[in-house]
Amino acid sequence: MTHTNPIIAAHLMDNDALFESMKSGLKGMKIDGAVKLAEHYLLTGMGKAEGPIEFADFGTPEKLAAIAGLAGWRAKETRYPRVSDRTLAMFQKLILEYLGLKTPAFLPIELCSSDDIEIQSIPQQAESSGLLEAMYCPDACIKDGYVTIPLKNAMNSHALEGVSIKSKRIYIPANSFKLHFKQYSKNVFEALVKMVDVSVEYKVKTRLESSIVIFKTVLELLANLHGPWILKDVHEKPYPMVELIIKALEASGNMNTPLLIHGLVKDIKEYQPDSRAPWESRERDAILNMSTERLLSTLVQYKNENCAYIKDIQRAALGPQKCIIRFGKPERMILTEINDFDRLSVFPCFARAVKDKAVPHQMRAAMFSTLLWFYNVDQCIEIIEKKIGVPNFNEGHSRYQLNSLLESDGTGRSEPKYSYGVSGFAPYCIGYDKCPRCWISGLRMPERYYEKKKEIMIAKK
Amino acid sequence: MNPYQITSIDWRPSTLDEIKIYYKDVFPRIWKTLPEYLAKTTPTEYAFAFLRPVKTMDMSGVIKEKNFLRRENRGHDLKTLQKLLLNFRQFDPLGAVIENSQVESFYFSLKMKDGWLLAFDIDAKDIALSGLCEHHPGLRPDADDSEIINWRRTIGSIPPVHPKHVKDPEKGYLYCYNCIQEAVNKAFDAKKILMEWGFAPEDIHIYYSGQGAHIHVTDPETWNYPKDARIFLAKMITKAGIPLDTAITIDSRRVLRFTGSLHAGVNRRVQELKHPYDLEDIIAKPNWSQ
Repeated sequence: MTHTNPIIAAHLMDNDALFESMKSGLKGMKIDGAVKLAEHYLLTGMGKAEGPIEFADFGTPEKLAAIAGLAGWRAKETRYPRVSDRTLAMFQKLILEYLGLKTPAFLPIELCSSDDIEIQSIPQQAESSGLLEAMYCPDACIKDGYVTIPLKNAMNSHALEGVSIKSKRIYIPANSFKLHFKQYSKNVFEALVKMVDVSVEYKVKTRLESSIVIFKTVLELLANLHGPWILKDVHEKPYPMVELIIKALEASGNMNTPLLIHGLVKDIKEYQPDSRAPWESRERDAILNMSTERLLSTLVQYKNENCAYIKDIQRAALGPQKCIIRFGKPERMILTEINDFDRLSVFPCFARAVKDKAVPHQMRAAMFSTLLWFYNVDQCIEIIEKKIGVPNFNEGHSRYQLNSLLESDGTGRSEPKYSYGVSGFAPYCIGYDKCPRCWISGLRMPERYYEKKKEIMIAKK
Repeated sequence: MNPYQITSIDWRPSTLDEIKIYYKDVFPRIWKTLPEYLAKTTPTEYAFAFLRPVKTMDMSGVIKEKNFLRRENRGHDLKTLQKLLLNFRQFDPLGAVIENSQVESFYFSLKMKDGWLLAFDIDAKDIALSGLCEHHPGLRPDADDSEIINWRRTIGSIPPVHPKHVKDPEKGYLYCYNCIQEAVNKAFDAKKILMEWGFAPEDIHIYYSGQGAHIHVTDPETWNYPKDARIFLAKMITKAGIPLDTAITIDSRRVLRFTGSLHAGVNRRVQELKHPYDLEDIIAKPNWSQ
């Protein structure tokens, strides 16, 4: 069936149809109005808005789709995982409201460690709106508080706790529906964000970024008052003390330099904490009040917990006088030799794709469009044949497919045609809550990759 | 069922003569009693395993040893099948076999002319491994090599003991008689579950497979179930405590021992069961005679 409602089925719609639909949502709206609404959306998601935002503030699914796409794009630009999570949760909340289910407003981000919404019952209009059909199958309906679908349409992911079977139909309770809905609406949301990402002009984006002022200020305030870790992944353990050390070492230029403990303490002493960020002087004072033995043992403990910023502690057993410590930002990988390919297996999605050998087309395209920035076609062939061991390997076929991912860069050299993000890997993504890393952002892509991304963005318009 | 108290006759591999007699004289009688959906021309493929590997030559002259051959069902009737079962080389439609051996096992593909048979497989050896049999322990999934060998020795020494491997029981049967009974019981439990899910009892067939049990579901709608629905069903049945070999259910390329064929590893034929206790007689003595 053809889907036309962008907040129900953006990812199932044809690209042009989705673009037109989102554009129609903004019809008659001035850019300032759209920016204001997107900002209100973002702030509500963070639990920081003056007044609530409701579906009625948008009025039509098309308008919500367009604004959610803009807000989602802006949230992604912050590179704070929690901000993106909340922006998605806000979208889910608004769809549920559109479907007749009210959920409680979001608590301010600093007061609540969960960014999830609770769904206690199946929303009344899930069936009539076409959501159930898009999510499950044409014959999906609500019965006695359950979603029910014919057994023939059941999927592996439906075999959850509380799911039952009667008269050759499966019955999905609200708590399982919740899990399906969250995954499904995430796909919808990502399609909206991607549409904004590829279709909005670069200069419009820049303008959008600079005009969303209050949101930016709120983020800065949150990071200053509560520490930047509050905006990071809730499942990642925060290390406020290390965050302060990084700031001090960045100021002194000693990042990535091997230091004695007293050298480290000296840099911290000399660091002028940001007066707007009370956590900085708090952490600084805490470090300066510690004995060097205590400081060392704390850092050793953090290192053992895999704190990514502590690169190296040498001769820790010899105590603070003799030991050498090095801090640095988590490094990105550069792939040069074919054997470097094995290093990518630290990323769960990538490891699984390699283990499965025969991966879906869109994933193969995403994987090799990225790898072709590091390897040539011959090396990729070797990877396909020897490193992955693809069944039914056919060199001619692989070569043809790899070449189809390349184009000339204008100077006669070839370069990857498409610039994939993580979306190609979505089926294998285990979720940021379980894995804070992403294989594409784990790579040090060449400058040209980022230039090309910009060109693609501009050309799309 | 206490395996130590079972007196069983001829729980051993069939002899070459027995296999020949079975397919020559017994199989035609059984064929007539097969259910409609297993009627002669339904499976798209048959498959054969041999007493010894056969030598085959492909179109480009490459010679290989094979234990297992699949052949497309070109409307094979009983006579054609019988010929193949008794002399594969002479009647092989592909003419690929250059060194013959007697067919030991005979299988049909779950892909049939009218769809894909929904089937479940419960192996006695999986019951033995899982610890569901009260007469011996199971095997931990992370057991090391010495634990595995000890376990195999223990299981191989509990009846049935393989007559050829009395001294090296670890090479013998890796289940006890009660494991087969448990497999059959679990199949009937699964039938009950499937009935609760809305399938009619007459559409659920349970077979004794030789060393375990098979369930065929022949409800009209199941023939068209896609793979996803089968994965879901296999998962739900497993969750209900039935140890399935799920690959059989979810892989459309799989074959299953042909109903009414001889399981030559234990000299018993595959037959439909109406009650779990039908198994006792089958274990006591071969369920076929000349």
